[in-house]
Amino acid sequence: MQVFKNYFRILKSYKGVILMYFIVFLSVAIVMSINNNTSFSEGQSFSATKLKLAIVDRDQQTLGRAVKRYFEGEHEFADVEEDENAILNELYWRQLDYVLVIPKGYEEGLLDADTSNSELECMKVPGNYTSSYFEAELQQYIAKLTGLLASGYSITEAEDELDALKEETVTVRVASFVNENQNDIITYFFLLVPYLFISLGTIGVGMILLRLNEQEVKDRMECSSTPLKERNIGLIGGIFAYGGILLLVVLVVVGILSKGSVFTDMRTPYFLLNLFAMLLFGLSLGFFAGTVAKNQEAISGIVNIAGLALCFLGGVFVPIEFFGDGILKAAKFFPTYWYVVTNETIGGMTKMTSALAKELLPQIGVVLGYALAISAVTLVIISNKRSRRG
Amino acid sequence: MVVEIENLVKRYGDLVALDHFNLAIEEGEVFGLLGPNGSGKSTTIHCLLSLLKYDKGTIRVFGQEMKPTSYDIKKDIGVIMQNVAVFDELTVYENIDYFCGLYIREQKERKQLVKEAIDFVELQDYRKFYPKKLSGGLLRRLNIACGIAHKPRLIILDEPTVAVDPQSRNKILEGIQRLNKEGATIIYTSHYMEEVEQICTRIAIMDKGKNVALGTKDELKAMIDLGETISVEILELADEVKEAVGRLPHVIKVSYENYLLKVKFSKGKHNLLRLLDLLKEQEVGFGGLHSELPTLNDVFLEITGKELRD
Repeated sequence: MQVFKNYFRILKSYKGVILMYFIVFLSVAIVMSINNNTSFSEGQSFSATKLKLAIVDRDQQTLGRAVKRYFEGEHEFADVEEDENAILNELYWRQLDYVLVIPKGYEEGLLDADTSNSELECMKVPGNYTSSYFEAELQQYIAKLTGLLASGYSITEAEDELDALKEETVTVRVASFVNENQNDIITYFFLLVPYLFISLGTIGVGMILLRLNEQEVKDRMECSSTPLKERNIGLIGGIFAYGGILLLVVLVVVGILSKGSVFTDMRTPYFLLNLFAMLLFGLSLGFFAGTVAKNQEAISGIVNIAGLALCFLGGVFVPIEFFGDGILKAAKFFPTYWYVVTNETIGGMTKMTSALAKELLPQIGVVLGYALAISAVTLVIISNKRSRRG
Repeated sequence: MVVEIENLVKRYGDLVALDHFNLAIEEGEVFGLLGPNGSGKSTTIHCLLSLLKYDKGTIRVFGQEMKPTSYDIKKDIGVIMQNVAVFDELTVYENIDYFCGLYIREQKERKQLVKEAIDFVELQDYRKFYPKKLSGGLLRRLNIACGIAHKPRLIILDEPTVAVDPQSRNKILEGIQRLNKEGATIIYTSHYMEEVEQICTRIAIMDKGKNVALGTKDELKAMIDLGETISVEILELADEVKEAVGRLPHVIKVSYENYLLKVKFSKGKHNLLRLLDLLKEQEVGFGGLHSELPTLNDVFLEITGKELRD
């Protein structure tokens, strides 16, 4: 009990550092979670831009009307006289963005599959990237039209066919957001938690162990009548109680952010399991740091290097979808990667199935495995230190 | 016997730190372990406390074999090591309370003991101070309070006055004598012979892991041939006079440096008178004069051929 109480007495003196990490993390996490939640769910990250277009139709066939009909949903069309100065003036004053010029005989060339003598022309505002986008769309339209004509369609049939195709809507989903749940505030907040657990786990455990491992203090404790086993139980109790507090605070914050829905969400137990594994990893890293580090600066170094490297390369701060093949292969060696993958899977879950459980449990097991491996290595280091001294 | 050490051998690779070391300490003693740095004092203490494994020998404390798991024995031992062993993050009170709590579980009893320890080392005004705010002397006193708060029967102090100002050193030494008067047996290691002479009832002199001499300070001084050293301030001393001094009875060694004639005599009577007569006879004028009895350093020098502080 004395060692347990002492753990928190010493921890109290690091409350400033812990609080600083916590506030920075919470601020970033809350802002990112809220931003992420609103931008995707309400579609606020995208807004369509309409170009002001005009067509100068020297050919006077059906194509000019067809192009206007096809694009008038997305862009605004204005009527212009073929007066170059007037057009340039309107472009200069941004009353027009792009003017398409259909040369005489263009449609005939299109039907003969030979437009080498008459190509589409344009007048546009230099450096306007949205007009380049329209150009690309137009080229696609002409390419499709050419394809249909080659298949035996007449020009009006081909134009009607393209209009009909445009009416069909295709729903596209980005791979990382397979399920809209995956993008909710709970999932996103939990995605960022590894940084908190790694940094605060290392500080909260490492700094205390550093003190307890000082040779003079250690000797004095060894000389006491409190058995080693009892001292170790007190220490482990302190570490787990500290970990429990971290977990609790994270749940309270996510509870507030999700307006309590996290407590009724069917995914919460699985999130908790994943969080618990990551918490153990963070605490074990602290156990390791407190054993090998010689001073507080070394612990801070471990916090910064391990915390940031694991979080950036594991997909906590950067979506895994952005990783190249090489980085992805390397990321699989980090426990944070498996945490992130599990978190996304749980986020997208609507009900637990045995297949899903078979997928999740080994992933959580990998994180736990890392925690166990680090703890085992640390115990070997402690044992070696003891035998060297004897 | 409070402590019995028999044939203790401790090796670090090829280096023999303790070479068949023997020691027996009785209850109520203030026992001094004296020796230069590297003589094996701290190794002896570490083995005695089971902080170090040893290669051979037996250690018994309060009549029982001492092992790392001898918690019944450990509860009656207080340890004050050479380096200060406290937590910088805890206040003076919290530090003493923590270390006392490793022996005393009952909170009320512990509170009283912590108070007594604070009073004992006179840190009442510093209860809420953090160690970093304390001076070297106050820090040493806190270190002592952490080791004695649980009222142990055997207190081991390993060079507790290193880098301490004279005022704090005196307080520490007085405190040790008070603890002894209250019934505690003390083991005190130091390379400061004056301290050991001042407080220890028996002394063991260590060198190269061996116990080279053992006894009270008078017994130790009686072991050597040196009787006294007489120093005389002389402005000018002719070589013939110096040689004549060397021919006086009981003279062991004569030296003249910095206007100071130093003559070492073996045990014998009328040494001072004979020296003064000779100086008068040779018409040598002199100023100050003083006589010193042998110190533990002289004992160590005669036994080992080197100074304690070498």
